[in-house]
Formats: sequence, C-alpha cells, structure tokens
Amino acid sequence: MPSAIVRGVLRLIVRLILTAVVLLAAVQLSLMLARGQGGGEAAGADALEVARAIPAGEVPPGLSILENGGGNAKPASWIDEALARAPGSLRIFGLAVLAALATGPALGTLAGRHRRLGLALEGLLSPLFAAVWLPAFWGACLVAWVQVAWWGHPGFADAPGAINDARGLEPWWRALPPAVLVTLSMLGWQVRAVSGGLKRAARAGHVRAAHAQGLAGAGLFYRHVFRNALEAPARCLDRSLPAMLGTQILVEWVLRFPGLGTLLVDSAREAQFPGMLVAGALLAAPSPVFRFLGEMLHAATDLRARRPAALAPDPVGSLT
Amino acid sequence: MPKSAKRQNRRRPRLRRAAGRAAGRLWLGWDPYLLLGCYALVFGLLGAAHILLPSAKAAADGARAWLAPNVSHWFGLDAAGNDLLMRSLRAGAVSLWMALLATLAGGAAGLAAAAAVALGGRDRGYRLLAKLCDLPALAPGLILLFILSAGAGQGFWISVALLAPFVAVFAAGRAAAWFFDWEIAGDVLAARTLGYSRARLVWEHYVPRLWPRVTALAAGILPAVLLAQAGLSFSGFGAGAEAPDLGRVVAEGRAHLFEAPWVAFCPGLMLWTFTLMLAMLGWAVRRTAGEPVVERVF
Repeated sequence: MPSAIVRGVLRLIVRLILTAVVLLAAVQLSLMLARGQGGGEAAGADALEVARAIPAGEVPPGLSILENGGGNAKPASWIDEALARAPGSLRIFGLAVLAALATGPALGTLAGRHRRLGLALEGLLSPLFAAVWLPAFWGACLVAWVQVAWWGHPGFADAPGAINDARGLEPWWRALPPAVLVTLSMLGWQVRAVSGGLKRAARAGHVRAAHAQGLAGAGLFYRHVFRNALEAPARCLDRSLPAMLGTQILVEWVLRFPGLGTLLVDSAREAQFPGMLVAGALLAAPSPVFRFLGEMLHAATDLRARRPAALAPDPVGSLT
Repeated sequence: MPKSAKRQNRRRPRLRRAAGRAAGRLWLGWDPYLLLGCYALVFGLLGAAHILLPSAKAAADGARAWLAPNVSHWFGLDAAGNDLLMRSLRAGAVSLWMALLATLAGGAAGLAAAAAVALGGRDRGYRLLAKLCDLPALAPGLILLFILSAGAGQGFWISVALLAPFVAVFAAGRAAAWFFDWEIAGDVLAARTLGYSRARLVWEHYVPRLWPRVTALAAGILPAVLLAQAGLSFSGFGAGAEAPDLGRVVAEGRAHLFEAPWVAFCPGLMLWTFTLMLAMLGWAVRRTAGEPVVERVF
C-alpha cells in the first residue's frame, strides 16, 4: 500500500504538470486562432508570455469583483481576483461533491441490489436520468426565475458583496441552489454507472456458481457481487467530475455568482487570456486530485488492484 | 421422383436468393431499421422545418410583441414579434445538425487514428494513443472549449471544428481499447498464426466487429455534444447571429427572463426534449447494437 501511495502521488504530480501544459497549449492555440482572425492586442503574445504576465496583470474593472476603493487605488491583479473568487466556487463544488458522494453510490447500489424490480425501478429513477440531460444553463435560468417570482429573492446579479461579505451559514445557503443543479447534472449518471457495474459483476462465473450452490439474496449480492464491483462506487466521482465542473461553470455564469466559472466565461467573452488561464487552472486542478483519490480508494478496496499491473499476454507474439 | 421434390431441390436463381436474404435480414433484425428510421425522422423533419418554415424576419409581427403562449402561438411571441415555435424549430435544426456533424467528423477522425495504430499492431502504439487520449481528460472539456472559442470566434463551421476534436479523442481512446482487446480474440489469434497481414486482419476481423460498437458510441455521444454546443452558444459563442441555434435563442430570452419568461423557457424546453430524445435513442441503439441485454442470473 505505501508504494501504491508513492506511485499515486508521483502520478498526481505528473498529471498536474500535464494539466498546466494542456491549458497552456489551449491558450497558445487560441492565440494563434485569434491572430488568424486579426483580433486583439493579445494576439501578438504567446501562452508563456500570458502566463508570465499574470502576477503583474491588472483585471479590467468590468471583470473584477474586488472593490478598488476609488480612482487612486491600484487595480486588482489576476491572482488576487482568482483567490477572491475561489472560496465561492469551492463552496458550490464542496456541497455538490458531498451530495453526490452521499447519494449517488448508495442509490446505485440499491438499484443494483433490487434490479429484480426492472421497469418499476427504472420508472422511479427516471427523473434523475432526465435531470442528467437538463441543459445546465436553462436549469439555472429556471432557478433564477423561481428565486425572484416565488421567493422575492433578488438573485446574485450585481451583488458579489452579498456573497463575499456574508457571515456564518449565509454563504453556504447562497451556494446551495447552484450546488443542487451541479449535483443533479451527475447524480443519474452515477446511479447508472454504479448499478451497471453491479449488474455486470452479477453475471460473473463465480456468482453463477454460488447461485447454483444455493446461495441467494443479500448474502450473495453483498458477499460476491458488491465486493467485486467496488471499483464502480469508488471511481464514479472522479470520472464524473469534469462534467460536474463544466456544469458549475455555466451555472455560476447564469446566476452571476462571483466564482471562478463566471471569471472564466467573462474572460473568454472579453478575450482576456490571463483570466482564462488563471480560472481554467484553478477549475481544472481538482480533476487530477480526485482521480488520485479515486485510485487510492480503488487500491484500498480492491485486492486485485494491489497486484502489479500487467498487460494482457500476447500468446502468438513470437509467431508474427 | 415426384415433380414437387424436383422443384424443391432446384437451386433458386441468384437474384431471388439475394432478395430472400435481404428480406430475411430486414425481417429478423428489424430494430436497427426502426432506430435508423427514428433518427431519419428527427433529422429529416428538422431539416425540412429549417428549409420550409418562414424565416423569423418574415414571420415577425412587431405590433404583437411579447405575446404569452396561446392557442395560435404555442410558444408565444418574442420581443420582435417572432413566433417562438417557428424560431425554436429552425434553431433546433441548426443545433442538431451542428452536433451531428461534429460527432460524425470527430468519430471518423478518432477511428482513423485507432485504425492506424491497429495497423501497426504494436503494444507501444496502443499505450501511446491511450496516454494521448487521456491528456484532454485532465481538464474539463468545457474549460478548453471556452479558451479555444475565445480565439476562434463564432460560426457554424467553427463550432463544428471546435467540438469535433473532443469527440475524436474520446472515440480514438475507446476504439484503441477495443482493438487491443480483440488482439487476443480466438479468430484473430488463428488469423495471426496463419500469417494474415495487419491490413487484412483489420479489414476482415476488426471492422465487422467495429460497426455495432461505433454506432452505439456515436449515438451515446450525440446528446452530450448537443448539450456542450448549446452551452457554448448560450455563453456567446457557437453558431452566431446568422444561424441562431437553441442556446442562443435561450440566451436572448434570458435578457427578458422576468418580463417574458416564456421567451427563455419554451426554447429551453425544446432543447431538453431533443436531448432526452437523442439520449433515449442512444440507449436503444446501445442495447440493440453495442451491448445487448444479458439475462439476469438471480
């Protein structure tokens, strides 16, 4: 296990570096495309120059949520701006991940256990599956409309202070509607992934043999099926995370939530490459981290994962 | 020998044999044709709607702007007096065709890359392709799409070109994994032992296995591509003002969300309906072609 952790940490470091490289490559390609269309002052720069300019770069007033304190004050830098927005995004992300972890694998396991119910079960879970295909931006529009029309809540538009300066549980309460949307966007997929993994495991030879010997019900399921399909619940979060983050970006932007997603979309609309790079890097960072956690959980729960990985043998490799 | 037995043993003409085989295939495997018909219906009807329905400008009736949904205008009228149902149908056609083209182009490119690796037949090639396909998965696709869109701008073909590489990377990774698994299938091992060339191996043993899985993969990806494309155009990128798609129509409605909520709700509802319909069709295709349902053991 310790060696697996060391290998996992090394892989995590490599993945974080690769994530930065992928983002820089995307920025470089975008700059080249902008240059091809003859657009913008930034078109003359390259991605490394953009990255180097981030600490000293100044955020245009239209994009900043930090109060400048009058005309004489120095405008905020991109890093300050991103750090000021990060807690809001982190709250939404944390709530969504907790909700998804608490419900997705559990519901998926129940659906796998009671798959005998067939169509009735599918009917019960169909709202969750339908929510997966709900356009996130449209769902956020509905939430904004409900907030105003039914609750008289002014929404988040042009009120970043209301979120950043709030105390106690208020910031968490404000992060709840976007977090619910983000969770709903992936919950159905997680349930389906976990129950699908369990259904596949239930068709294995040893399960058939145990069933033929008279073992059935919960005993057979939890002892022989669930334990062999633990990879599905352990890894469903890290696999669904990129889509959850994508939903979060759109939901934040629609609700004008002062988070990193809003910074990314606004920067893209204004062709502010430093803003895109900072927000993109901070939003992409959880992806490798959760992948690492998923791998560790998998290594801890699945005995087969502790063995050294070996590729499938090539029986006729020497013949060809 | 009786005359009827003679007729029974007579070999039927080649044309009749071919027709009989075709009819048998059609009769026994009717579900793929049904699914194909469903897709043709969706895309054909929307394509026809895009061509035949009056354009938004021609249908505009400025005197009755912002009319709520009623019997004569099911989706209501927008700020310029356009009938929202007509507008949404035209925009839906643009969205769906953009998603379909991106899926087809990306899928073809991904398959070509995986087939090139399979022709080489080296483990190292498979591993390299798997690692390359893993790279974009490190950052959520929408982040990369926003960054790229900032430089590329708007346009129908620009959106297709931006979305297709993501489909290609996904398809290449999946196809390479299938090819790698098939390397040790019984018939492939026999063919390799008999000294088949890699090209013949790929053509005769991999391609026939590939079509059902590729169809299922494309059908599964299509609604996700549609959602990503709609999200992009809602945020100000996508097809542009010349050929507005559903994301853009919803974004226009968002500006009047509290005065005239139907301007955002109705096109959004149509988008959700299309996405759900494609997702269910994709599920049916997967169950028919890719992963047929296997009976429950207990």
